[in-house]
Amino acid sequence: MTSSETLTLNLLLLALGGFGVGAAGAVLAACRPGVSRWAGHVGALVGAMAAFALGVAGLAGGTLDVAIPALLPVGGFSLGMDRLSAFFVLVIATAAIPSAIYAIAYTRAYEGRSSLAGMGLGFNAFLAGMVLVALARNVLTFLVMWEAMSLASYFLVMTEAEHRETQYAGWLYLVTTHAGFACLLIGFLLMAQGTGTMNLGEWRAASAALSDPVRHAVFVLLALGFGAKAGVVPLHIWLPKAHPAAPSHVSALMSGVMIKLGVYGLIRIGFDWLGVGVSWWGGAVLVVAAVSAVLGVLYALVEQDLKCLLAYSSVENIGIILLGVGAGMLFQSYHLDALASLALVASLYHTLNHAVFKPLLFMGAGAVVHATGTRNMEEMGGLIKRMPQTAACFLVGSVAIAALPPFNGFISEWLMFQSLLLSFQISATGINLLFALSIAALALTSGLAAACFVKAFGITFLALPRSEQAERAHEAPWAMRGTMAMSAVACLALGMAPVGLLRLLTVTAADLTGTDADVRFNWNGIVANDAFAVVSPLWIAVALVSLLALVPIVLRIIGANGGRRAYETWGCGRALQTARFEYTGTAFANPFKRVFGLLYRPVKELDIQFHPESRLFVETIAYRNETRSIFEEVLYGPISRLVQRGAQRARIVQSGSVHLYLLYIFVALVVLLALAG
Amino acid sequence: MVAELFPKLVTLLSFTVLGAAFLLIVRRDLAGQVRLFAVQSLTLAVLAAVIAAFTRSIELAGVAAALALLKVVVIPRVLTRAVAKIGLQPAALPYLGTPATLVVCGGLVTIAFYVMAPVAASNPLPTAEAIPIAFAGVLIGFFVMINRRRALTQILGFLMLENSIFLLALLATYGVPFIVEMGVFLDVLVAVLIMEVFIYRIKENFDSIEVDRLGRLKG
Repeated sequence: MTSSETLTLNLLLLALGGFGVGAAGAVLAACRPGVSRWAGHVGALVGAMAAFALGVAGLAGGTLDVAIPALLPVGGFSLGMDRLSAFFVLVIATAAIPSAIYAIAYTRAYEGRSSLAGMGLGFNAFLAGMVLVALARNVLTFLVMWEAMSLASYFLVMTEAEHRETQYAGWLYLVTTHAGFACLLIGFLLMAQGTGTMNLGEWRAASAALSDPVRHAVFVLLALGFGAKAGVVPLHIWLPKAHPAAPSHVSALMSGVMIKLGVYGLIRIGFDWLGVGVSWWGGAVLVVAAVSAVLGVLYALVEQDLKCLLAYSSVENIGIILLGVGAGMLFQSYHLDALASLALVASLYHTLNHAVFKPLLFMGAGAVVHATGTRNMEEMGGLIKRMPQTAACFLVGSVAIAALPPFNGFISEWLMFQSLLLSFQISATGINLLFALSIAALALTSGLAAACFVKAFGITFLALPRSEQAERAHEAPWAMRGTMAMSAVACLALGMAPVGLLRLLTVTAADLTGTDADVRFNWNGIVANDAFAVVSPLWIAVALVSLLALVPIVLRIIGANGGRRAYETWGCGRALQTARFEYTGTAFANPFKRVFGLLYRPVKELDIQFHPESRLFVETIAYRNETRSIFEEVLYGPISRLVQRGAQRARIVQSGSVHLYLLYIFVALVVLLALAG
Repeated sequence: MVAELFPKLVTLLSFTVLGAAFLLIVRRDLAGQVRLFAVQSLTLAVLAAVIAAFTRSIELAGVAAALALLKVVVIPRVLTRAVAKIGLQPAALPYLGTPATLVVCGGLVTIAFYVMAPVAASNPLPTAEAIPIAFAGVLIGFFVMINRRRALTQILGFLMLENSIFLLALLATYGVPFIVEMGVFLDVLVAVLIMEVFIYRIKENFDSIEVDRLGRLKG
C-alpha cells in the first residue's frame, strides 16, 4: 500500500468514525436533548470535514481500495475511488459542513418536540450513506448504501410527523424512491448478468459484450431509477413536497446533495458503465433536462411557500446540470470528445455551485421560518430591517442562483451555454435543432430564475411586514448566521477564482471521456474552444465594483445635493400606508400565470359578500387563485387509480384467515411435489 | 431372524403413528386429542428405541429418552393445563366433516406414496420401506392445521407434523445428529409454551379460541 492510499484510507476511516461517533453520541445522550444535539452534529461535522479532505485527496489523484468480502454476500463490501467519486464526495462534504454547524443551533427549536437522538442518528446515517454510495464499487454495496441513504432521509423528512402534510410528503417520497429503487435493482441485475461481474469498476470494459436490447433496457431502467432520485420532470412530484417538510438543515442536504447522487448515477451510465452510448440516449437526457429546467422554474415562480419555491428551483437546477450531461453524451456519440469534456465540466461545476448556494438559501429560509413561524411568503415582508445579516446572505444566494456575476452560478451557466452553442460542430440537422431548442430553454430558464428570486427575496425581505409574526421577527443565532456567511463567501470565491476548481474538473472529465476539455483558462480568464468565447470573471467583478463606486463620484462631480434627509417612503400620495397595499407574491406571479396558463391551468375564485342593505358596501371578499399540477392530475392520477383498483382485486386473496394461508402453503407444497415426482 | 423382523416391526410402528394422526381427525374432545398425541409420541419413542437397539447407537437411545420425556410427559401436561383453563366449550365444527376429511386424507396418503416411492426405493436402509408412511403423516398433520377451527387443535396438528418429520428423518437416515435433534426439541417446547400463553390471552380477550374470528381483526 502506497502512502497516498494510507492517507485516503485514514481519511475514510476518520469520516466514517465521525459519523459513527456522532450517531452513537446522539443516541446515548437521548435523555438529554441539549447534549444529544451537540454530539450528533459535531460528529457529523468532523466526519464531513474528513470527507472534504478525502474528496480533495481523490481529486488530486489519490485512490482507495477497500474490500471486506465477509461483510455482505455476493461479492462483499467493496469501496474504491476515482476522480468522479472523489468529486461527489467533495460536493457532499461542501454542503454537509455548513449544514452540520447550522443544525447545532437550528435543532434547538426541536428540543422537547421531536427526538433529537433520532435526528442525530438519521443525519449521520444519511451523510455516511451518501458518501458510501459515491464510493461503492460493487452492486450490492451500492444498492445497500443507496437504500440506507433513502431511508435515513425518509426518517428525517418525517421529523414533524404530527402534521398531515408531512405524513403525505413522507409517504409520497417513500413510494417514489422505492419505485426508483426497483428500477435500479432490475437494471443492475440485468447488467451484472450480461457482463458476468458484480464489480462496478469492470463494467466499462465488460459492457461491450452486452447485446443491444439488454443495453437499451439497462440504460432505460437505470436512467429511470437515477432520474427519480434526481427529481427530473415528470418524476419530480415527491421533491417539492418532501424537501420543504424536512427540517431546514436536512432540506439543504436533500436539495443540495442527495439529488446530485442521481446525477452521479446518470454520469456513470452515460460515460462509464455502458461505454459510449447511442445518440438517442443523450438526446433523451437533453430533452428531459430542458423540460425539467423550464418547468421547474415556472412552478417555482408561482409558489408562495418559501421552501417549496426553493425545492422547485432544485428541479430547475438539476435540469441545467443534466443539460450538460445530455449534451456530453451526444457529443461523445458523435466522437467530439473534447466538447463532451467541456459539457461535463460545465455540469460538474454547476453541481458544486448548486451544492453551495442551495444549502445557503435553505439555511436562510430556515432562519426566516425560525423567526416568523411560517413558510408562507405572503405573511412575511420587511424582514431586511429585522434580520439584516440573514437578508444579505439570502441576497447573495439569490444572485448566485440567478447566475449573475460575480457569483459562481454565472461561471457554470456561461460554460453550459458555450458547450451547447458549440454543438454546430455536429452535422446532423435533427440534433442541431434539439440543441437550438435546449439553448432557448436554458436562456428562458435563466431569465425566469432571475424573476423567481426577485420575488423570493423581494416578497420575503422587502417592504412592510405583512403579519404580526413578521413584525416580531428577530435575527437568527450567530452559528446560523456564521454558516450562511461562510457559504456566501464560498459563492463569491467560486465565482471570482474558478481556475483551481476548473483544473481539477477538466482532469475529472478527461478521465471519463479520454480527452481534455476544449477550454483554456488562467487567473484572468476562461477561453472556450480556441477563442470562440472568452470571459474574465475577475475583470467583470472589478468592472462591477468600479461602476458602483462611480455613481457617488459622478454625483459629487455634477454637484448633486449631498445633504441627507430622513423621511417616509413615498406612498403614491396615499394618506394611510399599511401592508395591505403592498404588492403580493401572487400578484408578482400573475403575469406569468396568464402567459403560461396552459401549463398552470389556474383556478380563479372570487367570492364577494355584499352588505344586505346595499350592493355598494362589501362585507368580505375572498379571492383564490391557485395553480393545479398537470402532472399529478393527468399522469399520476390514472396510475394511482389503476394501482388502487388492482390492489382491491388482489385483496380477495388476503382474507386474513390463518386457515386459508395454511391452505395456500399446503396446495403449493402438494402441487410442487406432484410436479417433481 | 432379527434382520428379517426389524423392517416389519418398523413398518408396524410407523403405521401406528399414522393411525394416531387419522384418529386425531375423528376425535372431537380436546382432552382426548391431547391423549392421542401422547400415544403417538410414545409409539415414536419406542420406534426410536428399537432402531437404537438395532444399530447399537447410544446417541439415538438418548434421543428416544428425551423424546419420551418431552412429548409424552411435558407437552401433554402443558396442553392439558391449557385445556383445563379454557374449560368446556361447545366444540366448533371443522370446515370439512369427518367423512370428507377421511377421503381427503386417503388422497393425501396416495399422493405421499406416489411422491415418496422412488425415494424409498433408492434408499438402501432396511427402514426405507416406511418412508411414504411418515410423509403421509406430515401431510395429514398439515391438513389438520388447515381444517380445524380451534387454535389448540391446530397446535396438535403442528405437533403431529413435527412428529412425522422426526419419523421421516429416523427412517431415512437413522435420525439426524443428536445436537440438531435436541435443538428441534427445544424449539418445539418453546413454541408450545408460547402458543399456550397466546391461546390463553386470546381466550381472555375475545372469549373464544376459534381462529377464524381473528379474521375480523384485519383492517
